[in-house]
Amino acid sequence: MSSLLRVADLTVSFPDRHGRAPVVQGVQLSLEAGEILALVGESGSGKTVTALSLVRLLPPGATVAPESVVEIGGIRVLGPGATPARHLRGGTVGVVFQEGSGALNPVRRIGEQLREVVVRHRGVAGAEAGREVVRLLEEVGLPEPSRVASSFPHQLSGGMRQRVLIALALAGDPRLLVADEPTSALDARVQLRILALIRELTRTRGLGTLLITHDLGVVAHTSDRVAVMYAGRVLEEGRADQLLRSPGHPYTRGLLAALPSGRQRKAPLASMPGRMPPPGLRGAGCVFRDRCSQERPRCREEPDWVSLGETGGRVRCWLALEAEG
Amino acid sequence: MSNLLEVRDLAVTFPGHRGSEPCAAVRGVSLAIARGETLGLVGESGAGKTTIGRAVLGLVRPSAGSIQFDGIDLGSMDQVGLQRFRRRAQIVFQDSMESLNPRMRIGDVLREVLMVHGTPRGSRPEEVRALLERVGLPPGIVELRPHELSAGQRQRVGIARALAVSPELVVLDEPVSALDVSVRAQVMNLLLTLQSELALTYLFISHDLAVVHHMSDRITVVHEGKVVEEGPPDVVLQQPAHPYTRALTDSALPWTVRM
Amino acid sequence: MDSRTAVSSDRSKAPPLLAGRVARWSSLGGNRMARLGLMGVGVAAGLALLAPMLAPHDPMQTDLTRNLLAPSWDHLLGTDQLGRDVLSRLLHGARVSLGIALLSGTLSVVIGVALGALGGYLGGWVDSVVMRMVDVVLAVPRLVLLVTVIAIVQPSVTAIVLLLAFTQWPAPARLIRAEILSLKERDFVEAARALGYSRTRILLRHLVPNALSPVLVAATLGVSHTVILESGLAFLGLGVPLSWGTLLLSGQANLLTGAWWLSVFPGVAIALVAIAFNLVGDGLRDALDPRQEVRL
Repeated sequence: MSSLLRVADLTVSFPDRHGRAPVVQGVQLSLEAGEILALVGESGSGKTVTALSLVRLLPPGATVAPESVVEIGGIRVLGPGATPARHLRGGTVGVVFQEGSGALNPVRRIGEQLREVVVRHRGVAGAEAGREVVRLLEEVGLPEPSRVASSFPHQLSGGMRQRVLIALALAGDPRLLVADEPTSALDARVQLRILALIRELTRTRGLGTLLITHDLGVVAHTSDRVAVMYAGRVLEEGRADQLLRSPGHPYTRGLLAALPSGRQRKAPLASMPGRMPPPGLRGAGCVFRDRCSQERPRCREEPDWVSLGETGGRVRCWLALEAEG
Repeated sequence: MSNLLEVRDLAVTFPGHRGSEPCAAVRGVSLAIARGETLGLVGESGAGKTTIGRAVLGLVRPSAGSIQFDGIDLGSMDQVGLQRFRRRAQIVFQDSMESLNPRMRIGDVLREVLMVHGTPRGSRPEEVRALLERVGLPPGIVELRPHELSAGQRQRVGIARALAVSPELVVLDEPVSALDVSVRAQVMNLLLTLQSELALTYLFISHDLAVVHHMSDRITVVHEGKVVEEGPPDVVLQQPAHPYTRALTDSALPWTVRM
Repeated sequence: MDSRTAVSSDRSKAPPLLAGRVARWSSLGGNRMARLGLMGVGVAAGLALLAPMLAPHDPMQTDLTRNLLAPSWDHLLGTDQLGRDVLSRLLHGARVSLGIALLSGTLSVVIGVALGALGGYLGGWVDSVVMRMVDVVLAVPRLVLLVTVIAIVQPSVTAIVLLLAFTQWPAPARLIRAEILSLKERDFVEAARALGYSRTRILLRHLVPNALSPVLVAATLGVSHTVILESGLAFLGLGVPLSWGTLLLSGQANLLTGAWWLSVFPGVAIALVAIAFNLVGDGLRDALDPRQEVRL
């Protein structure tokens, strides 16, 4: 069976002072219908660029390497022999933007903005489109959907606007949902409800959801599987519960250890030294080796994927290979 | 036990814009911080945390209540007294990009503080170097401008700037919320080290329960401009008495709070 | 769905290699039209400065035996009705026209920035007074005011510079006031207050330098406007000798005699300088616009 989303060898470069620097390098991902995959990483890890290249929303200047492949629902949208995809955004793929990012037009009513997408992608018009708008607003859990439809964005709360943005992403009846930090701007209580909604929609609609986040709490709470990105590469992936309980990559372990545990107040947190190398300064070999406490001579070579037991988890680290024997 | 800061019945009301209602951001808040202690101030956005922090530093005028710093009432200070107070109480902001003048080199940022507060010209370079070392930054950074630094480095500059006047109280307004996990741990460790080395008193403002729990000796929960609960971190966050606090702790995600 | 780029929450933490002033300033150099404009302004300024050396003849030397000569090797741009060399008059005229435009522009920016910055920063009655002054100046039609006053006081460089500056200061004043109003809410200003910096220091070191960009853009665009305005006044007979507008006026009188060179060359000079300043202004706007910054 082919996955809903398959990404292989995705490499995206941006111009820098010395020419071009890869910001995303050799990323592989796969996502099934009904599943939430969290793409987690710190700033500069390349998670957002990865997501943007799926929907071809890369900023000008970005170049995608020719060997990069993206397939959605078995249709190649990027790479050799790709079909030109004018209806890709909003159609097969729905993008949930972050509240406050300016994705809603402040001077147009919610209903009009939704209707536009509905009409364009569903080929319906008139009262039919109006009914569809109300149905969408209802689906994302907004009370009094017709009142919301006739409101302007500023008349709604942050949580309601985020729901509207989700409805907007659903309006084209997508199969793949890409949500970029959908809850980072929200308070904890609202965040929980929005995450619950995304989970419910993924199940009921049979969507594949790619959730971009930097928050491990969101990962643990919401996703089925996780891919951990660092310096443009995916270093580890696996089932969320498994990966967070027993992380396999030294970087993932470092991340989890750096969180306050709630046990020893005011004690120093285990912090990784140094910082993520910027694009262009990521030499050959393992990108994490400069900050890794267990660096080996072998780490100067690029590590390959190593599977971790039967759980389907895998890491890009030579240590894991050693541990296997 | 001597309190460095005592706030009684503080209220802050902002005038409404063009005919709209005035907005009561803080409505009768009382709190006290002992010397060398960290008081965590928790609440959601719009709860009035930031306004309390600014009022404590005399940056926002209270509409009612009193603020006493080391026994002196903030409202009764004259110019000289206020300038002396500025050397004893400082602030670190959330957004390190916003909190640094984009056109100034880091060296100038720190030298300016020293100059205004009367450090002789000759000893300024030495002081700047010492400040940078204290916050773990390389001396060469003085030549750079804010946008050339990483977020973590910028936040260290913000801390160094606050420390330049050798304050006793530092208001930390969401100091690590904009930072990535690994950098956040570094900065939290730095703040803890500085506190124990320099005997600093912190007012630590954050919406992140795990971070506040880790950093604080006591916690105050604010909601809609009022204090709803107050006490030791373990008690407030593990056995919350007030329904609002309970709602907060219930909606904190695992790994954001692991207790 | 619109095609705007998704904005991630961590835009301020974009890798430094992609952001920064270097990239922005080099974009001024990278903009070909702006570079062309810069070259034009440079050439005009150079010619004006070096006019006494470059001018082949004395611009005031009349020679009625050689009047209204068409362009020739001896007089590259011909001579006027009094036999004066048009090229020399144009070169010396550049000093007058550019000088008036730049002086009045600078003066209006100085006045506008001072008043606008004070109003924006101090607020209250200071702001009200400044803004009412702005309203008053803007309420008077500029051309009417200029024509009336200059007709009364007699045209002189000082009078024209002062009057132009007086009618132009509201634009920079409003621009800088708006910038300062938004800047003073920023955390670095709050930090400066917390550190006990004086109001003067906050205004001069932290607010004004960060608020100047749009003012400089507007002022540059304004210079081209002033060159045309001043020429227009001179064309109405309210100019000083040698101003390009004055040259144009004398050319107009001779247009029927077929001495086209008296009108065409000053006209072209005015147009080219105005266009050059416009190009520089546009380039500057692109270079200083924070939205033009490359973001990841």
